[in-house]
Amino acid sequence: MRSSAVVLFGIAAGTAAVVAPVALLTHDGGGTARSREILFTVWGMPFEDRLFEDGYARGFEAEEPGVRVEYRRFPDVTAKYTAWHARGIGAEVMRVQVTDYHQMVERGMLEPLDAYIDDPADGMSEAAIAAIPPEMLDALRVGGSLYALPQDMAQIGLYYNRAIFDAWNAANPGDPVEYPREGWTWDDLRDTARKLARRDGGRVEVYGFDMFIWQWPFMNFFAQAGGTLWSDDGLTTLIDSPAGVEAIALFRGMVFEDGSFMPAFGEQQATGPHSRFAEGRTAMFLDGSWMAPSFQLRNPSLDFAVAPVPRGRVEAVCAGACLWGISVHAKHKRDAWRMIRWLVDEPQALRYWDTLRVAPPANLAVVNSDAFRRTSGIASDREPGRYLVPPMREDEFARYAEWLRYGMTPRGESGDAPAFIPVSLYQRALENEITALLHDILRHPTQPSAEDALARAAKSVHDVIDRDRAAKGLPRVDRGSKAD
Amino acid sequence: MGAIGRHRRPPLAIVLLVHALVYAGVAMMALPLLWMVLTSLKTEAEAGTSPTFATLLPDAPQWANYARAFESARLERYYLNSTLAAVLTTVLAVAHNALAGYAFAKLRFRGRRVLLGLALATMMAPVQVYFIFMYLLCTWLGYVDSVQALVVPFLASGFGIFYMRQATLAVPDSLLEAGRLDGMSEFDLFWHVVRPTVWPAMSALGIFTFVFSWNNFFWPLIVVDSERAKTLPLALADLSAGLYVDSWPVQMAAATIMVVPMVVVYLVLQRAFVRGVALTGMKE
Amino acid sequence: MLCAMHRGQTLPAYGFIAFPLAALFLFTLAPTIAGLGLSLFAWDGGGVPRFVGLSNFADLWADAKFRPAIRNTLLFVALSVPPTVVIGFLLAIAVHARWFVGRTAARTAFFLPTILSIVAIGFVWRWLLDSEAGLVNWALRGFGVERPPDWLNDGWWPMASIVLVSVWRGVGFCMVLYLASLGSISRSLYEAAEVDGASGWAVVRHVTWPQVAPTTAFLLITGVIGALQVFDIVFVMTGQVESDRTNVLNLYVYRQFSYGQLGYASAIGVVIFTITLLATLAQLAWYGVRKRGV
Repeated sequence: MRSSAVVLFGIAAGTAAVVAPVALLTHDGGGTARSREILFTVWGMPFEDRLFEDGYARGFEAEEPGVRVEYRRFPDVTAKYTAWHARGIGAEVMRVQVTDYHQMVERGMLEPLDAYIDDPADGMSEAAIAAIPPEMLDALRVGGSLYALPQDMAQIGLYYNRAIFDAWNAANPGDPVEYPREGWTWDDLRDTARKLARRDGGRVEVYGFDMFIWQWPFMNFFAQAGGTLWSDDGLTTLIDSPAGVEAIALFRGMVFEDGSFMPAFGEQQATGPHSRFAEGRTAMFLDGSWMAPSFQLRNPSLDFAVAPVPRGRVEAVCAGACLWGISVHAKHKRDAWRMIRWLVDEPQALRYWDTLRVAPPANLAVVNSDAFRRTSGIASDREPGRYLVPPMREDEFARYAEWLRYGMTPRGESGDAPAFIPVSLYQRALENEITALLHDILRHPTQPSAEDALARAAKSVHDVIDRDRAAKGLPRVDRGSKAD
Repeated sequence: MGAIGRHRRPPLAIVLLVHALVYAGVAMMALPLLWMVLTSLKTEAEAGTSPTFATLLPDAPQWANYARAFESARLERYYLNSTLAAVLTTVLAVAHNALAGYAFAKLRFRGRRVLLGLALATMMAPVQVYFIFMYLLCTWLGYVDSVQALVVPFLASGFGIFYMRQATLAVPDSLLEAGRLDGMSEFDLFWHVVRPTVWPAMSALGIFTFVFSWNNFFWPLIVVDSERAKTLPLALADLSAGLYVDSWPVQMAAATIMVVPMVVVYLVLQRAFVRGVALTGMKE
Repeated sequence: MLCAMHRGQTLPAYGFIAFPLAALFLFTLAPTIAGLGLSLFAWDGGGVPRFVGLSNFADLWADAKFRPAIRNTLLFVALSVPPTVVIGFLLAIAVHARWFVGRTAARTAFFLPTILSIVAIGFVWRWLLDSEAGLVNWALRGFGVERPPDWLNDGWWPMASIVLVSVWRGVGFCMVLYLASLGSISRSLYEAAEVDGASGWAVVRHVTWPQVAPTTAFLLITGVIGALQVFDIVFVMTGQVESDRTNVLNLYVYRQFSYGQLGYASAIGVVIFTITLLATLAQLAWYGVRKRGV
């Protein structure tokens, strides 16, 4: 019977070992007892570790010998931050999407930074603050305070395939088209797209214009039509307005009148709009700054360039941002602040551009510097000669990146730059509704009417707001007669 | 047609039709996996366009896609975590569920019915209802972001206990009584009398548990914070976290890497798998 | 004497069940009860939850996204569970026939998807169903379908795709269970039917099908529970796109959790739990009635 005793003991001991609250399997040692460990969290693709982990985490440790940086990357940070907040923990330096920022501030997840910024010993210099685009700072101020600093300022632009334009001009010398450029209008966009679109029977040979069905293009043209997304208190959305109708008319015109735009619904496509553009089948493609390296990688022979978005009555460029914030639950806030200050300062902001080239850093000094004109990319460790992010040579700057300066440069009498960052407490809910709205209106030329679709979207957003406020015991929002 | 065909052969046309239909189904089962492997060996250009007969097979197999999948996703570490979690969960969960199953099937004690009912009731609770507090509990125990968090909550399950209880009911009471008269302890009885009889059920439960643990997605998504405990499904989900680089051949290579060990284990052990599943529905 | 013997069993019995039941209680039962309780609170994860009574449920009732989520979940149950079970049954009787060639190979192939990770399966199917580069539409075009559907994006096709993949994944499990069940049907029943001169189909309908009823019951009950709680396959196949055509209850729970609406998420969980409970009890009652020979 001895064997059974051994088994029983084995089960008991094994269970005890696994259940024991002391993490036996985990500790990776590392770090002396005196070093302060700070947690640094990001989302992103695995290869972005090359910047965030190898560059930033290890780089800051070299900068501050008393600090050990624990780096973590998640596919979905929103759920993760919520889970941590419920546990009463948080990261020292957390990467945050600007769309979630106001909600996170409202929920008390982020540490206010003003005291750190103004600190005489450890604060930020005037020049460092002045380097941040002012419209970005405006978007981030809540009750006069800042709870995060921006890493980048991603923007939407018009990618175009030069070969398709050149081919048209060679074939139609009497009716030439021009490359998209700064100052183009909606009409220029529509005319050119219509000319370049080409079908062969049922099959589309060349897509005149293309884009993913998502919120940025709508917000972009909505703003260009003079629209404002939110009331001043941020509790009522104003998309249900003539500007919204105009933006819808632009999209519907290209789809149903011009036949230059054949929407591909959904982002789950392996061969979505971005693949078609990469294959050389699309004349103009409206998308974010992050696409250029990916096109270069996927199709090195693609002859493309990028221009600023065409302008409407108002010059506007939809932009977004990744931010660096400190969790209220962080243990080493002083170190966290020093790391953030280091991250947004010129050298590290430039490094972001130099490696990933996803978006220009939110640092005007970098964007206007000569160093902005070329990048090194990320080379593969294991396959010499292969790049995970291709570099940009200086002679490619005009084609791939110069357009980014347009949105960030003050223009005209107002002195405002065209780029705007859509933010509000309920921005996420609004953006979800805008995407749903586009799915509705791009399937049929008149059904539902633009007015009905916008009213329905606004009502859905207001439902979310009212529900949230009721749960918090806050008073109802009075939206007058427009409420429903 | 089938059941009676056990004894009488139906007309040849029907026999052929049934075979055709079933093997069409077999092809449908295998094709997605075949396509996964084929895609994983293609270049971006081959994979990215509409397939033609010419591009169904890769022109030259791109084994580099596998290296890329490993490079971009650090799969080695996740392999280790997945295996550790699955093995620990399987061994310990089978032991505990089998012991509890034995107690509920063959031992008399107060509260037996009520406790079994409670255990069964947990089968109906969706993880999305209890994960918040399960997570907070794991925090409190210090399990979060360790392999422990992927093991301990699954060491017992209503299904496992019930399944083992049903299997143990088949053990003749006379054998147990005889053992008791010989002075065997209850654990001796379990190990020397019950276990040999219910071994197929235990191995089946082991297989279920292993498959469940290896493939579990929702809970690790919440509870895993770092490389320390990250498992393969999470790593695979990582690869599509953005549009930035979105290479289907590399993704398919990663999926292949993840799926192949299970397929091999299954093909080797398929008799045990199938027999185990078959046992599930028998005892109603 | 017997009593004494049983008394001797009490201690070991508690010993055997102590750990598993403690683990179940701690990691499932208690968190479930707490989770159900949280549905009466508003909580964003920070600070102290605020008691709001039933207002989360009132809000759910008025939530324009909630009804589609319920509808889609029920639709998924209705469209995926019965076909999986029926196809599994038909496959089983086909493969079980003496004259069937290659039983083991067929069984192995059909069961294979059951053991694969849903994340991997979801990826592979997304790729197969891609409207342009996908193998499925390539085949459809080859068969002369002019405009094959945009499976993952257009209208109801995404839901159809999810159902398709679920059925694809589930039939093997049902088939294997039915095969076991068929093996245990007594020969004499068939012989009696043959003496009566029943046709092949009549035998299946009147002999085989009633004999496998316990298996059918088991498959339907577990299938419905699983389908009501569907998450992974929808999450992987429809990703970050929020659509009223594919949003299911568990996905909605996860989204609300992400947005920091923990009490609201729990209220949706209560709804899932309630539907699961009702569906299970209803099915158990139905089989109970049938068993008593109505």
